[in-house]
Amino acid sequence: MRDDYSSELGHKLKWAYLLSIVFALLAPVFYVIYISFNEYGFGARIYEFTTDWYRVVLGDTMLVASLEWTIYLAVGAVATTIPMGLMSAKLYKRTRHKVGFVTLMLSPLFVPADILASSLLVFFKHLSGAFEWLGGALGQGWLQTWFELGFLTALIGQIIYTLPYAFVVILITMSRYHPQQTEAARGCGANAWQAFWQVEFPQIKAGVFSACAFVVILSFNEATRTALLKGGFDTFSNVLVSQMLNVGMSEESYAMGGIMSIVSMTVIGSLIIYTLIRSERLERVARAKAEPLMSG
Amino acid sequence: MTVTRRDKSSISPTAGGGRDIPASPSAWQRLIGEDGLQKWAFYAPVAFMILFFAIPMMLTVVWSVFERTQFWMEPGFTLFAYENFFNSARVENYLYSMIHSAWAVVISFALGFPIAVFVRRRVPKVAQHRVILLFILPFMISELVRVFAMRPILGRYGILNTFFMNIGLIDEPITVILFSPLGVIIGDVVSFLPFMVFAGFLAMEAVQLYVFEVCDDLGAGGVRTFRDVIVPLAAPGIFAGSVFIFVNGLGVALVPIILGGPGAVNAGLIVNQAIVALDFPLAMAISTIMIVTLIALLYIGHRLFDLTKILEPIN
Amino acid sequence: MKQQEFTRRMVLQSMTAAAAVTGLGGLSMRQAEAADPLRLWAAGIHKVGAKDWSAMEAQAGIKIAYTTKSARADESIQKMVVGDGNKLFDAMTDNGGGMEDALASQNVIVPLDTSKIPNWKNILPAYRDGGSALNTISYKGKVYATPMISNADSMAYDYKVLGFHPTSWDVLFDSQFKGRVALQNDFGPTLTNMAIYLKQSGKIEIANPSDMTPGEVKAVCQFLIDFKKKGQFRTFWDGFQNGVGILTSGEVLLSSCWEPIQIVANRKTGDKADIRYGSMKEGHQAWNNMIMLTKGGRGRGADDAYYKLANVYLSPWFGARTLAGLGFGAQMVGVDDYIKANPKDFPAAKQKEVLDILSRKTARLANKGNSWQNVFPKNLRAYQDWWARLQAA
Repeated sequence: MRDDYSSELGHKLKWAYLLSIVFALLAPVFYVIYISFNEYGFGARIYEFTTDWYRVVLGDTMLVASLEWTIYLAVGAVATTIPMGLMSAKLYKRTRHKVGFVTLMLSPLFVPADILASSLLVFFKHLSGAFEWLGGALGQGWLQTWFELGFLTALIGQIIYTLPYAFVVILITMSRYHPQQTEAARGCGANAWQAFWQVEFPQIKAGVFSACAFVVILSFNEATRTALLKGGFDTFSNVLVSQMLNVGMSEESYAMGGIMSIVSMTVIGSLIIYTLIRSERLERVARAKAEPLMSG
Repeated sequence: MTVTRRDKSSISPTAGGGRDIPASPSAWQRLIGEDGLQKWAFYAPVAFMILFFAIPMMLTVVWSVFERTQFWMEPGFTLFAYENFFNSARVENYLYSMIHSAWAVVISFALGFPIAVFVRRRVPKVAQHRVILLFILPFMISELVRVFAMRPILGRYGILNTFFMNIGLIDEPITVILFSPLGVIIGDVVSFLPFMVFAGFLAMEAVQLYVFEVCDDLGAGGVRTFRDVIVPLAAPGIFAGSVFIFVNGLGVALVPIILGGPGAVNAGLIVNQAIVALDFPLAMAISTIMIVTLIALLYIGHRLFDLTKILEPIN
Repeated sequence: MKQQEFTRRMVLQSMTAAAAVTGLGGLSMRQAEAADPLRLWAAGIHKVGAKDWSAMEAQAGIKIAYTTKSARADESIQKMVVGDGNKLFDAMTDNGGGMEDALASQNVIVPLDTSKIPNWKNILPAYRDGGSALNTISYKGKVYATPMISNADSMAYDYKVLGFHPTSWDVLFDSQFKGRVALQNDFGPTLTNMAIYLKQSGKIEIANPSDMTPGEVKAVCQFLIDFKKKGQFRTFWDGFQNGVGILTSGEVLLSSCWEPIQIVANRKTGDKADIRYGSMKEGHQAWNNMIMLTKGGRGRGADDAYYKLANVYLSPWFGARTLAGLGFGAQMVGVDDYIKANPKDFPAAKQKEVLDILSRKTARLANKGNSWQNVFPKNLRAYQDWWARLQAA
């Protein structure tokens, strides 16, 4: 949408600025892809092109398994955090104690990863002990393994980490939704769920998907809390951190990183191109409708 | 389970009548209200946070006054950990890291927020979210790898220096952009700039396009529009983005380890080092101090700018 | 057995507890193996022969379910003492000279019966009764750990740029290398090495470089603070990748670091640089890594599997390969014979390289000024506090 007073050049310059920032942010990513083709890996002063690492990366069972676990955790985090973020945002609108509520929801942001993980670790140990005793006392064996270090504990750590971000994003999105629409819907006989799902959700969909993307990103990159709170598995970030500290990151890790970025760039790139083409077409149609004599 | 349609009136207390209140609701009905049990479902996140966050955090404060043993800690009361923090130069490191993070916020705002405004204003609505997605791309690679990749770019014989020397701009490599506070700030900006773009964009969704036209029509220049109209309207998002970046700059230990000079630290790394040395009371104390500092900053901000106004557009 | 199969079972246990996540239970399940694997918590540097643990498994005749571990002392303590380490792991590795004392005193690892390890008879003399290294693997007179690798940490340097081979730590403080020097970002190794240098060169009076008094720590740190303020150090490196990167990119010409860093850095630079590892006349900090059996492991009957793996670690098969691969010291005698007797695995050029590393390493380890790593010095707090001051300077 361009108004008559803006300049073509200004517009192009601003686009150039945006794209150069994107490019600068992506420079490390491109570099990693470039390096993943190097025989000698990262930080070498010599470069020899090879696709070996890509050939072997999918056979590196440790890396592939760690990627699987990363995905499980990310999916689990999204499945729990987004509904909780939605519920918290709705609660925020109703509650009288807004400041206190926001402080509670946002305070995990201010706690360093190590501390959160350490405190949770001790907390889980005590909880686990309590449940073991409870399970023994009640004779229910399955109770006894609750809160032992494993997937669940790692997931809880991730939820605490990502929930504030999801909460803020969803809250900001909801701010442009007019609550009168829900009232109207309820007045027409819809129950709370229908009013939400059919009236409100379509309008905040974009924000919710942004929140999902956020949570996935945060979960993918998270290493510290997972390292302390997990059971006998590794996520991709854990493997990377361990490699960075001990043996140097393996060339397969860069190939894995390369694959992840190439895939995401292709997906997002095609989405963008498709949308831009579609918007051009839509714009042309709209202009044709508005000024049937001028266009065509 | 639910009462009749007529009683399912508006959620908002200010909306008008049509409400049939039963003469004397039973205790159960009072508990579940008009919407039924699902009302209490909304408190689930709060319960979760209290159970898995508030309680462990209170434990953190409690542990910060415990006595340190060789490998763990034992119950007691001593302020030694806090004394230690203030007497041992850690407080200087902590303050420096706050200054560097603040710089990262300012630079990110200057670079990133205009992008959010531009996308909201000039990019076709259909494409807006997709364009913002471009800023998610860097995150698809682990942060660790991205920060490491800054080294060959900023290094003594790295891409930037080689380029500048080749075009004759400089004779000697610039060494101050890596292994220095500037390196840390650059690393923070590159790592966290997208947060500012996202948050700014989300906030700009609240700014209707006609606002720009109105300002143009009234003759306000770009700067005035930006300063007096756009920034206040987008305040929630700017605030959120700033908080994300500031907190991450303080807490993410990776950036000073990889890009910082000798002994460069941020608050997260100081905590990390205390834990590695098995001084848990000290680590908990630093964390408590960090939480208190941030709450204090928020409070000062509130007194100066009345932060509840930020929450207003959301209400 | 692969890591993911072991962990599927663990996930099942947590999943039955959490109704909310049962949906994930159906994803990619595999057949559970019949034999119980040894659940090992170790760092990547403790394996040889293949990119994964298959060569170690084959040599020991057991299955290993492996989880990565960092070298951080706190992770070990937290997981084993506070967390579920004993339920999760049968065996774990860590630094000798402190960790075994800490874990044994907390009752999370168990004493070993060295008669069950046939290769113990070939162990280096230093680990026998009366040897200088025995207390790095024992606690209160009992052996709790099997050593796997060791080394004496010295300095890496780019011979191509320097033109000479440094033989003393004082080259790190030479003003012609201002801004091209790096130290390790860990107060233990760095302060110990510096203490050794300052003691042997007579600059500062120090009784035991591995366990200094607060006054001694202060003196060493002030010496370093002086040079830091003058801009002598480019950075303090932390992590293998970091240590390699600063050498290969030419940022730093001299670095006090681990030998594998020099070996890998040299491989990455080809003939653009010539990165060597020196021996310093004043002495070095010596350290080792060892493998321990957890209490939980003994309870689950993992003793056999543990002893088989420990046996591999003390075999020249492992010793030769860790020497050739990452340059770590072997813990048994007879490595040079093994190398010469296996020309298939060690062709002539490789043999020469490895024997060269071995001889220089033996010489370095024999230096009288050496001092063993002490993970938990008595005045740990003083070390930490002065290190914080060094960082702030």
